[in-house]
Amino acid sequence: MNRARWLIVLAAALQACNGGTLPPPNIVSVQPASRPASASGEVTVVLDAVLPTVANYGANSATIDDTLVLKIGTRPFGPTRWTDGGVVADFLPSVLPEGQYDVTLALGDGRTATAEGAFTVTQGAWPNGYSIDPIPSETSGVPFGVTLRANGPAIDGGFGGTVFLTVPGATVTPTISGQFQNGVRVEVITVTGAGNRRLVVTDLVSNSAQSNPFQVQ
Amino acid sequence: MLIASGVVSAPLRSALASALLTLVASAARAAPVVEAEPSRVVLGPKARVEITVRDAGPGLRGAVSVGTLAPGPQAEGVQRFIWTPPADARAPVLVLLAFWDVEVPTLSDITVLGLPCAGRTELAIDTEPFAKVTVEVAGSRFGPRKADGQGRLRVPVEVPPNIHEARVVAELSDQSKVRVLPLTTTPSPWLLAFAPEKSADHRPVRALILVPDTEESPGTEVVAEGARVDIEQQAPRRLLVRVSPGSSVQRVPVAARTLDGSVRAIGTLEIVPPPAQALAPSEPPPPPRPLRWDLGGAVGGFVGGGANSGPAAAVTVGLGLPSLPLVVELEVGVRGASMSVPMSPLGIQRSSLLVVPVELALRWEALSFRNLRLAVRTGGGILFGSHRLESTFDTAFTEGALGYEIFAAVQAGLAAGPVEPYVELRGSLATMSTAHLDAHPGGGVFLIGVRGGFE
Repeated sequence: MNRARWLIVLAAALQACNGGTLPPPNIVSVQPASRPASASGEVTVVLDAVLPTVANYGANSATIDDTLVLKIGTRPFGPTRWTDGGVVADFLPSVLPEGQYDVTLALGDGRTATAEGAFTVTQGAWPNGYSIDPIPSETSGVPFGVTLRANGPAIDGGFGGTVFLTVPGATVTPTISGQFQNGVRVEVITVTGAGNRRLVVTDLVSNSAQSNPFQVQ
Repeated sequence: MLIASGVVSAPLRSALASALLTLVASAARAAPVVEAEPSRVVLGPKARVEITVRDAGPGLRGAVSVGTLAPGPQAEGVQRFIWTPPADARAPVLVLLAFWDVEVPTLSDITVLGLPCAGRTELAIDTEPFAKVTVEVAGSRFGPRKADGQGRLRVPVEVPPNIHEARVVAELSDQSKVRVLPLTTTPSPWLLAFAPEKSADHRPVRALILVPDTEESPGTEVVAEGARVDIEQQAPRRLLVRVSPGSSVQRVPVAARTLDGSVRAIGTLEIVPPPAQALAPSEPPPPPRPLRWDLGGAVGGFVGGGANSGPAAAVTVGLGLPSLPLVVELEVGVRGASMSVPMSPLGIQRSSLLVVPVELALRWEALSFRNLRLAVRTGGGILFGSHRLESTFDTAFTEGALGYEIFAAVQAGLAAGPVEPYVELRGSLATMSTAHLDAHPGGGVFLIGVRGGFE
C-alpha cells in the first residue's frame, strides 16, 4: 500500500514537471494616457505577452495563436492580431466622453489583462457648430469628397476632433470622420442609396449641421 | 632420502647396510619420480614417512603393501603422501609403494619404492656370569651390557627386514666368545593393487603384483575367484595381470602367492555399475564470473526526423551479473535540439530543447572474438527536458518537459588493455510533449565511447 502511494506521489511529481502554464499578458503602457474629449489622434498601447505556441520538431514548424481583442473602455482598439512585437498604435476618434477608461486585452487562448483607468478623457473644447460645403449630385456607391468646417469660438490650433457622419435614408461610410485640421476636414465618403439626400454631421456633444440637399443617382 | 629410478634387482641385504634401499621400475616413459623422507624407519607409534611424488599427471594413484598412504600437504608440481604403519606392527618388514598416473598402466609407467622398516626387540642371552656382551645385527652394534651372576641379560636391538641372525660377542677377562643367535622373521607382504581400482560393469582391470627383493622364493602366481586371470606383462619380481570378472559376480577375491601356495597378498576387486553419461570426461565448466562493474562515456548524435536531431552524450554505469554474460546498466545522458521558424508577418520563432535521459538497460555480451566484442543492448527510461521558446515578437518562455524512450542497440567494442572503445548504433522510440512542444528526441542514435571495467 505504501509503495503504491509512493508511486502515485512520484508520478504526480513527475507530471508536475511536465509543461508549464503561460503567464498572463501585461499591458505595459498607454500613450498618451490622457486626452481631451474633443481631440483625436493616434494612441499607442504596448503589450507584453507570450503567445500560445506549439513547436513541432517533427514537422519543423510552429503554430501560434496571435489573435487578440484590445479595448479602450468598451471600444475595440487596434488590429485583432498581434503585430509589431506587441506595440499597438491606432487612431482614436473623439468619441469617448469625459472620464477614466480601462484598457483590456484578451488573447486567443483566453488569457486576459486589464489596465484599470489607464486612459483618461478630459473635458473637451467644442466648436459652436459646423458647416458643409455644397455637395453636387452624386452617384450611389461612388466615393466623393466633402469639405467639413468647424465654426464658433476660436480653439488653439483649431478643432482637432472628429464628427459622426450620417445620411438619412441612405448609408454612408465612414460613419466617423477623420481628424479636423485647423478646423477643416476634407472627407471622402460613399453614399449608398439613391434619392434626394442630406449629409448630417454631429459631434459628441450633439453640435450638428447638415448639407444642402443633393441628388444621389 | 631415496629416489626411485633405474633398475635394482640385486639382493637387498647389502643395500640395507648402506641405508639406501629401493626398487625401481625401468622407466620407458616419464614415470613419476618418488622420494621418501626418511628413507628407513623403525616401527613404533611415532613411525611416519613423507612420500614426495614429482612429475606426476593429474590421475596419480598410489598403492602400498603395508600400512596407510594418506594425502599430505600439496605444493606446486609436487604431491605428497604420509605413510604410517599399522598400529600393531612390530616385526621387520620391507614396505613396497607404487605410483602411476595413467588409468591403465604398464610396468614402465609404474614407479616402485621400497621402504625398509626395522623392528625393535630384546634378545634374551645366556652367557658367562658377569660377561660384557655386545650384539651385532646387520652391521649395527648394540651394547655392551654386563651379564648378571647367572650369566643372563637382555639386550634391546633393532632388526631390519630379512635379517635372520645376530652375532653375540661375550668378553670375560682376556677371553672373547662369539655366538650366532638365530632370529625369527616373517616374509614381507607383497603389493597387490588394481588399476583401475574397481571394475566398471565387469570390465577387465589390471592387477599389479610386486614382490620384495627380500623374498627368498620369487615364484609368483595369481588366483581369482569368479574371474579369469591372464598375464599381461612380467619382469623380475613384478607382474601385471589382466583380471576379467565373470558377469554374475559382484566382487572378485584375488590372492597372490608363491608357487608353493604361501599367500603373500590378498585383495578384493569390487564390481560397480557403469559410470553415468554425465560423468563422462568433459570440459570443466568455466569458473563463475565474478561480480564486476564498468564505467563508460560516449558522445555522438541523434536523428529523429524534422528538427529532431542534435548532439548526444551519455555516461553509463554497469553491473555485470555473476555467471551470466549480462550487464545491467544505468545510463544518464544529455541531448540537444533546436529549430528556428519564420512566422510571417510576426517574425522568427525559435525553440530549443535540452533532454536528460535517465535509463536502465540490459547489455548482452553476445560475441567475443579475440579483442572484438559484440553486444546487444535494450532498455528504456524517462526523458527529463527543458524547453525554451523565444522569438523576435513576443516574450520568451521556458518550461519543463517529460518523456520516455525505449530502445534497442548493438555495440561493437575492441578490448584494449583496461579499457574498451566501442561504437553503438541505437534505434529508439522517444517522445516528449507538452502543450507547447511535440518532439521525438530519439530515432537513430550513434555513439562513440569507451568503458573501463573493475571488479
